[in-house]
Amino acid sequence: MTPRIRSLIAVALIVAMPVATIAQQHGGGGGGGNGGGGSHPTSGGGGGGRPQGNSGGGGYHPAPSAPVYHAPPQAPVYHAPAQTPIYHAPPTTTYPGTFNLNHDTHGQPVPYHPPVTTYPTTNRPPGTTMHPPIVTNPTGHAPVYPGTNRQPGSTMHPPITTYPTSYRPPSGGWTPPNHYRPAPPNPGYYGPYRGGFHGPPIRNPRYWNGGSWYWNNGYPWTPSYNYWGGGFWGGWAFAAIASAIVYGAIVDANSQYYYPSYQVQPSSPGAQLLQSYELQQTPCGPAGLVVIWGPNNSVICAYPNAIVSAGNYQLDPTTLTIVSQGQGQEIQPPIQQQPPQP
Amino acid sequence: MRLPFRAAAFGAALSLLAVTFAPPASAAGTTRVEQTDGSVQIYQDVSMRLDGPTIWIQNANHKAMLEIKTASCSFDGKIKRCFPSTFSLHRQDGTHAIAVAWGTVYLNLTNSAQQLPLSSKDLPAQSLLVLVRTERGTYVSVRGTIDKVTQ
Repeated sequence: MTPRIRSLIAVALIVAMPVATIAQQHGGGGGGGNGGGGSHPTSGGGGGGRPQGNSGGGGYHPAPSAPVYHAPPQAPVYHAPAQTPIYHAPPTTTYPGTFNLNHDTHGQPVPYHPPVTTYPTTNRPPGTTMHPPIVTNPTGHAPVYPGTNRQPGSTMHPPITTYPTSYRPPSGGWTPPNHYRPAPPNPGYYGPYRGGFHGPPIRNPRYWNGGSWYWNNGYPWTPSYNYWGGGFWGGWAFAAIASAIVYGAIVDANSQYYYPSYQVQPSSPGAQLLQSYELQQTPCGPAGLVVIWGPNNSVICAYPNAIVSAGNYQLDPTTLTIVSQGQGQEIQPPIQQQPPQP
Repeated sequence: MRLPFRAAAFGAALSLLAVTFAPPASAAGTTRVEQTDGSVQIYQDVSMRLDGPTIWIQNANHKAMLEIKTASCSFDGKIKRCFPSTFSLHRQDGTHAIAVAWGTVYLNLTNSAQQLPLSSKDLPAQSLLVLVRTERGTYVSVRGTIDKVTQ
């Protein structure tokens, strides 16, 4: 055999070996392969290597690819909307010791802040401003008011009708004038006219026959400093007066104080006063009103009627009467009803 | 003859001791203090005394006392309604004046229950209801039967 023939044979053998190997892996007839019982991956066949799988002969049959598992699409995950945190108060505990008011007994005292008031809008011609209805001495003779049921011979105190020429009725959007401050709730002070009420008292039609504090079941009424008007017109505490309904104000140009008025609370002594005189409260500011100065520089206004004419009056809480300015005899209004028995 | 006499004397002495050292009237009041952080403390069995315009509230172990001076008192029917003018806490470390923002005191000094104003609730006879908010935001409420009334 010539060397050339030998080399050819060698080449052929080299080429044939991988083919034989592949054929044995996938088995052909008989033996091994996949699925064959007791197949052994190792087996001989054709020299060389150790082919995976076995079987002899046969062509190449690629095994069907194993099914690929595809996970089902994920269901949408529900995310609950963010909830407002719910406040859970700490559990109630009982302390056998002292009253736990440490938060109030420690630290600096809370300073007093005068109430900041806002005023409701009223119908007022645009461009007008409100000025204090500061009253001086009345001028002229007292006009006669129709509809009054006075005792013969008695005189009626003339209403105060003199106002500064700069006075104008309030308009919408009224705010306190610049540099004006709220009048301090000084105990014993009844507005800017204190000491100037020397006129005749108007007897209380309901409590006319009672003595001092008759209207209060005999109990003396004393003002409480923390409340507007000492509490006479209701429980309007200065700390919470922002929630009170403002009923206008009286502005004093001399002292640059303003005196806000608030709605009288039902069942208060002030409400009893108004009911006794059959007065209807109205916001302060316009002219021609009944202006009643109460304790601690408080003021309320009402429409005049047959019992009480327009003007400034000071409250006397002892007998629940109002005292006018000026001169004159005591005014005795007609008795509306019998006074209640204590 | 002596024995019954001694027994009667002994019984009388016991009765006298019982009266002299009798415990105070039943302290059936409750004080509730709600702090600004929402925590609440409840004090049971507080005793209450009304001395003119002043209300004294003593806790069960006698370690502290609240003093509430009322003012601006008026009547709504038979219910006496007042406002607290001063509010003080008396403790072993001294007296502490507490600033009051607002509050109301209801007193029923009659012998029958009375309906509270603007409420469907009744205030029992000889009892009081105190509702106070301090300047610092603490709520104090007291309710119960008045143990002693001194006018």
